[in-house]
Amino acid sequence: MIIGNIKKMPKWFHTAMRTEYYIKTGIVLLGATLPLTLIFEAGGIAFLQATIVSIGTWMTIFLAATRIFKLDRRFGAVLGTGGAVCGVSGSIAIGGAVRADKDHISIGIGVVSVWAIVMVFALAIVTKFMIPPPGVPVTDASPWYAITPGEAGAWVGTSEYADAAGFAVVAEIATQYGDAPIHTFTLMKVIGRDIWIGIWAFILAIISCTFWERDKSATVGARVIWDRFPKFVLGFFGACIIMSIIAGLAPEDHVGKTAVKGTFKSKAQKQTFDADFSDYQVPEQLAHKFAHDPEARVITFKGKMSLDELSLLTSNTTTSDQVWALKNLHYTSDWYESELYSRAISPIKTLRSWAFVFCFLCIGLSTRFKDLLTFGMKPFWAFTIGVIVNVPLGFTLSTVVFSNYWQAIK
Amino acid sequence: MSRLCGHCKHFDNDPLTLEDVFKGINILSSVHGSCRGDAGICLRHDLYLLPSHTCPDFQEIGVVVAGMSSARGAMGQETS
Repeated sequence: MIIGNIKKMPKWFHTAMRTEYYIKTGIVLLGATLPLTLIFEAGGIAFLQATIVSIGTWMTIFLAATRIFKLDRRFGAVLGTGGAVCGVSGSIAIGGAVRADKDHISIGIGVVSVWAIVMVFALAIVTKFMIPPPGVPVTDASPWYAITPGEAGAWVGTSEYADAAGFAVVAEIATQYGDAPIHTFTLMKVIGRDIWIGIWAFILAIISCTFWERDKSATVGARVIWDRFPKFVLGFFGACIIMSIIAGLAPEDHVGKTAVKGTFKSKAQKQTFDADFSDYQVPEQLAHKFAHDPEARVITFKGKMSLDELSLLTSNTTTSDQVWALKNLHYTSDWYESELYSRAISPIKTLRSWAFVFCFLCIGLSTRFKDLLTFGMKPFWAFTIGVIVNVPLGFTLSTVVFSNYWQAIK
Repeated sequence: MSRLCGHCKHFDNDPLTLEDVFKGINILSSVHGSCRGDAGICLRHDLYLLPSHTCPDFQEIGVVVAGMSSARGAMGQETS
């Protein structure tokens, strides 16, 4: 951002500096890593919360703009949708539908962008302060303001005005707390808020030509719903469905296999082992599943090993190396974790992280406050009143009203 | 040809023009997405609207009325 404001980027660089392409790529890739069941379980809550917040925020900004600051109703609608639905994209979608003044669109873009960038820093700092350190759960003994990473993601999804800016916040939280905030943010922002932009455009277009302009010749078709629908959301759902189908195709005859010498790696542990299973007594109940090949120096397990089965196998071990080898076998017996996750989902997550990195780089390089700070104080204050309502409302819904749903998402 | 704004000489929805008019749009969004769709600006009335809108000042592309030059032509976007 400092570089972007000191030096104007050359024209030839602009094509590569399109934030929206990276964020959309990142969201589609995110779909491939989000279980479809999660969308079914929490999608309804996300929609309900988004509806409450969107209508509340839109009405606040619209009424503040038109009643307090006496701004044009179409201008109020542009500002309101920017704050309530999906930021700058919401403003330009509604601006076209209600036939807004082009200067009002420019001002709307400026106000929404400035607040979105302010909220990147504000929400990142506040949520990281409120979430307890990794590994420390939120309990009754926690400070009153303590929230879980899942709740933080839902709050950001409710109170941030742009997808890219919101992802900047939750990606920062995720570096310490895992993917939960990214998942809840996506459910809230993409599924809860973004996909309704077409409906908003359709309703406001009808209101505009029926009540504001009283233009009898103007017609508004329902096609605007589809035209304004953010198509990348289809890519998000498509990637999610494809990966869920693949995950459901786990081979029933999968045999987990591990060398008796190797390294066990998990998110929390890394341990090398060199086990000798020549004297190992296989528990009778698992003799048909567990096998040891001394020549190949491998151990195998038919089917997915349960934690009880792992416990049974480790109960007969005599060395810690055998325990680590069996833990590794437990991992390789899980087809989803050892094959699908490591070979497909993990590289997709890496690619997704890079998409977000480039996205944030583009936000920084393309943000020129000189271009944005061209608005007067009336639209700024109208939008700010919306922020004052939106942020505590989003916090209350995410951490009190629907807290149980967001906490449960990992 | 219907008298819709999308067919009017004053209507311009070229992405490069819109990026120039709406400075800062690329920071968090873009003029290439579905949300903008085919909306553009009316260079006569300074409005941002859909090509399906209508207006009494419609002028067919390529027709030059005395005393009034083509707005799109003035911006180097004349198409016919």
